[in-house]
Amino acid sequence: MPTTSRTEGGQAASTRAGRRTNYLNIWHRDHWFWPYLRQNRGRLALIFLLGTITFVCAAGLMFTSGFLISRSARHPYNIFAVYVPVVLTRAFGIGRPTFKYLERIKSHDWVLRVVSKLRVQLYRTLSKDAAFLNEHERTGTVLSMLSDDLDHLENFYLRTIFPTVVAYLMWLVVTIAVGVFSWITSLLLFLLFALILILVPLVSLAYSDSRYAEEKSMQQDQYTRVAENYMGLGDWVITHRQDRFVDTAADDFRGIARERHDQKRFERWRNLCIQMIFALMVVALIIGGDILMTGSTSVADFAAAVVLSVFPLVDCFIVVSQAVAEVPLYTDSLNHLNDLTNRVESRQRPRMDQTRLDGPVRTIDFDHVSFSYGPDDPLLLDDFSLHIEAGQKVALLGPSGEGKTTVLQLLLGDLRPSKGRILVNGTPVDALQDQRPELFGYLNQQAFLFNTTIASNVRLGAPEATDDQVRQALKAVQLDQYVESLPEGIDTPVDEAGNRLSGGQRQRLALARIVLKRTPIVLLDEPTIGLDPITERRLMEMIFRVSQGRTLFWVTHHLQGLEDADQVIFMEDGHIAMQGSPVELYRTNPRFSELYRMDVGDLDKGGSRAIYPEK
Amino acid sequence: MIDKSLFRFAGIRRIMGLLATLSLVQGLSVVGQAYGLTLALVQIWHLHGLHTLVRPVLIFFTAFAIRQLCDVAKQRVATDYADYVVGELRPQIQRKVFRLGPAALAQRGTGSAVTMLIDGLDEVRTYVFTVLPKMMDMVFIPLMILVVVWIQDTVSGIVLLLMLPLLFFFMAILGMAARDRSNKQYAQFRKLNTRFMDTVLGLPTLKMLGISEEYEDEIYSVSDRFRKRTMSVIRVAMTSTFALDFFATLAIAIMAVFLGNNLIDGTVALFPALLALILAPEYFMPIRQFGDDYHATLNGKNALNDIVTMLDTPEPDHLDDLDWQGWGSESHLTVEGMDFAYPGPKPEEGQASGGSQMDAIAKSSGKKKRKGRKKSAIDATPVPAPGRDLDSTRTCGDGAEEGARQPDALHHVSFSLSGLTKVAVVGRSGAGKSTLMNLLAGFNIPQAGRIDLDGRLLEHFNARAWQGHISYIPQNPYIFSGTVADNIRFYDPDADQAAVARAADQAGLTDWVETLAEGLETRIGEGNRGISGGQAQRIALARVLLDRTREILLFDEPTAHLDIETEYELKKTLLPIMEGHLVIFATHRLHWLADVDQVIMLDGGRVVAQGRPEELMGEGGPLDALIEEMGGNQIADYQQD
Repeated sequence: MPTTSRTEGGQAASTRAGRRTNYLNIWHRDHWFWPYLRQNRGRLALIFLLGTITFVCAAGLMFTSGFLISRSARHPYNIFAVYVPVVLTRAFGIGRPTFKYLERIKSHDWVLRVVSKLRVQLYRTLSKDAAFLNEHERTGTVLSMLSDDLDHLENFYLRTIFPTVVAYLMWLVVTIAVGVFSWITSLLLFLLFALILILVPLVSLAYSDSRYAEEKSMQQDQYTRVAENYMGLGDWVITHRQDRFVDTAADDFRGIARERHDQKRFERWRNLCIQMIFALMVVALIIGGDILMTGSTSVADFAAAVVLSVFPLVDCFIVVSQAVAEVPLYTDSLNHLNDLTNRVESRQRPRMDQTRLDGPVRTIDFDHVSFSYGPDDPLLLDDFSLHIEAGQKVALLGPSGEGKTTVLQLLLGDLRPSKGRILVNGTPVDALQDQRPELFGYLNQQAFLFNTTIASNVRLGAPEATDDQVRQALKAVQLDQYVESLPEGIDTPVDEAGNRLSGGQRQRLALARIVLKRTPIVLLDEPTIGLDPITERRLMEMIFRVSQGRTLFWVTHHLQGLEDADQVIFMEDGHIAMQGSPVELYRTNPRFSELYRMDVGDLDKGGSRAIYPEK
Repeated sequence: MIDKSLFRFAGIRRIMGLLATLSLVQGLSVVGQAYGLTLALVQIWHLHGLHTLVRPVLIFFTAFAIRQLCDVAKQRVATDYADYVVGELRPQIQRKVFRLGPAALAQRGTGSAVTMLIDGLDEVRTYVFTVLPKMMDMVFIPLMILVVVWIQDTVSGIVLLLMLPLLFFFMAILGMAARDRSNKQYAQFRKLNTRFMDTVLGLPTLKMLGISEEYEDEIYSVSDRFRKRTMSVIRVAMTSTFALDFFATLAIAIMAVFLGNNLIDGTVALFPALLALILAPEYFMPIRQFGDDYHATLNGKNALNDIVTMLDTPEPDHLDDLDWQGWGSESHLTVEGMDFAYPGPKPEEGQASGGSQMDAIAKSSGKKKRKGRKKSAIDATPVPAPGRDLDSTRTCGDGAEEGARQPDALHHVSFSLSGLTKVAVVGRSGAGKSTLMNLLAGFNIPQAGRIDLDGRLLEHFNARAWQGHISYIPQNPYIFSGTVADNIRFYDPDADQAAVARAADQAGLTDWVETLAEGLETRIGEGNRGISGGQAQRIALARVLLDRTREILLFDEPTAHLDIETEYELKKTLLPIMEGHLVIFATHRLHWLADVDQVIMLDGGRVVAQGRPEELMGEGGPLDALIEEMGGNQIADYQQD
């Protein structure tokens, strides 16, 4: 998580400093864009072809109808003299909307297929780092990659790539078509089009590139400040500072409005310029037509055709500048995704040769384990040793930030110790990764429920379980009666039951997974946090009951329910500060007993004010 | 087409008049441009020399330039007006949010309110500057062109005129079909999207269960179904564009062929025929453009309606004329028979499905409905502003334990308090503790009851004089991005540095502040240094300590999310601060009972016990039952056995 924010911040700062983005460099090491353009070249070519034909038809319609009218005005002998233009006019008239329709369908289909693959790629990338998804990547970042960034890539194809390529193809078509008749005119048009298709887009890009980052940072700032102040509305209300509240982030708002205003103004005048270039082009064609085409009536009939066919091209060419101006937005999204890939790749570790345990779990050992995230980071564990026999219930306590969760991650093999070894039956956990889902069950602070039925949620990880087994698991966590009371029983979707499922029930549902899976080791990472004391106590009782005979590793910072643990380990500064059975600690360790009594609200034993002797 | 609520803004008529004038001028210049062009082409057709082209080309070029300038002017007028509208709306919304208070905000959902203010206004802006000029163009330009074409060539005029109803007919029919279709698809669409979000968010769980690889296929198949759904919606929308396009293009083709025939017959001359042909695309242009933008502007229209509805919500009376000088050792407060129920469904607690989060975060796609994320009234947990860690929204509050239950209403709550006492409000989850705290802070307005504050009768606590003397500290105190000192100064912005440092010290922040390079000037909050829950509580306490005029402290579960050690440390800081205040303290941590003078126990929204803690405990009353249920000291019990 810190890595993410740091890089983002750094980027924003450097762009704000006015550095021009080097687009070629960004796309150099790209995993998310080019590979998909290279795939399905045939389909892509078809899309470009359809797009080009659309505009050929549009120009052709004006061309043939212009010619048709000019030719007809010479009063030919009969209608058959203009038979070809009549047919062509109709054909182009039908062809234009038809090809346009086909192009849009094909291109959307293609893009959506690519997006499907991108989703899989995103999933695959994230799953390489799944164990740390919540730590390394902010949920907000992941969700915005899923919705915003993939959306942006979709638009990148639809709004920038396709129209631009089609415009350039049309440029080629026009140049060749005109060149057949007059290479000078063709050259002139080519140069005028170059203004519209190269110069103006580049200016647009330069303009939007310098502004994009600034506007984005203001927008984010506005979000943050408004969200913050809305969350603290109570405090604003009781201090009666309405005016300052109303002004929240108003400077950002005005800044953005100014940016947009400038941008719109730029777009207006830019489009005016493009239109005027077209007007010049038309004037040039009129003059050129008069010079070159007034030799005979049969040639002059084509003059109107040529001039009129320019107009439909405006639609094709004018979009390019805007399309290119949006590139910074898309590049930004592409950067997010590429950075993600790089981040994840850089965290990959070489895998050890895998083996399997040859019998049931007997012992778990932390053998002089030290751990820190990096050489400069503080040691979270310092020469930590622990021996656990199968079937023991071990509670791990300590203030937050003391590396309690790290112990679990090390045991799972998601983290590798800087020094020392972690062994199950004497085998390093690193070598047991393939077997890991069979060994460990895991329940954390907020069990994740998938948006499917209750049965599928319980059955996750034990797909072959029958409905009866699912029901038994639910019974073990005392959800059976509740679930049967739902309209569709175990097949009720969780989201429909969601309004009714409380925090405690959700945790119990997740516990049912572990019951069903029967893993020999159960890891609990503060499973009761956020629950009220009554629910907390019931859940803990239930956890102990269903994990009878299994090894239980339990990270907590509440002492509620601790009585049932075989061993309590109190961590401090990466070391074990206290260790022993709860009763023993309660008797011998004043700090422990004081905390314990406070946690359970122990008032009536020995006088209600006795907890704090200093008072 | 155009929303009635737009007419509430000043100057809309003037702007529309201006835009209409510009459209008319533009229409004229479109005709002029076509006239010049036709004239030039006819001269070429007659094989006339260059000199004959001067006038037509000048006409064409001038008219063309005027037309483009009109476009620029219209867009400028419209964007400026859109900026004005949005600039007017923003403070209005903010003022309304402020006046309605936190309970109403929580009812709506903080996330949805933020989205309304930022994205909603953006959409309104786009809506205003798109829809106004396009509307005017569509009203005037086709009509003007039709008249000109009709005068030049009746047959062409008829073709264009006949095409119009056909065009509108198909536009309407297909538009409706598309809407029906997409509405129907929408639920499915959302479900698939949610499913996908869900799978990604659940990756750690899948990995734990060893099935993350199997789900790759699932992702693809869900995604592919998603594609098919989207395509079928898109196809309908495209068919409607196709129809529009088809009839417009066909009209031109038919016209050209008709004109060709009539030219051969000699019933029409070249000039009118060419002019009609050149004008034909211009006739359809505004209609097509309006159709293209119609769907885009729909969001803006909805956003505007949403905002207007919110602005029209009635506000509670703020009792500004209450004259009350604050709480002292002689003060008393009596509440009798207070009733409160949440309007509509009770704000639901944050739930942990990926889907609901997705609702909040996903604001990009045009199809999203503005469904308010409803939250517990107290636990206004951080809401997904971009970049804010969403995990916090998954914190379940304490309300919805054990299945369906009645809204957290209060029934005939009566109690009385006097002097500088410490009062604990206890009860099971959902008993109404937080509701009571919100009523006391004036964020909720009771439906019935009598409040007597030092002899003054009030209907509710949303009174300036009362709120000026309270501090309200929730589970997650409000920390904004800024320095530690600024945060401490929140209630009293003019406090000097020494006072701030003293307050920080008393609140037990010194040890932590000393570890910071910039001390009290270190920036905290979003995008800056993160702080822990315990530190946030201490900053809130420092605020209280700095502003001595607030003699009433309202705490809503201040230690519920803290670990036991932090809670223990914080309690040591808190106890001395509580002296000399009226403290009302909602908690389910019963160890606080040892330190309070009075207990109010709520159950099911009613007061079931009230009195000194020693009186209520050990008597087998409801408080003992609660303590029993929470577990008690099992180790000590075990030892005694």
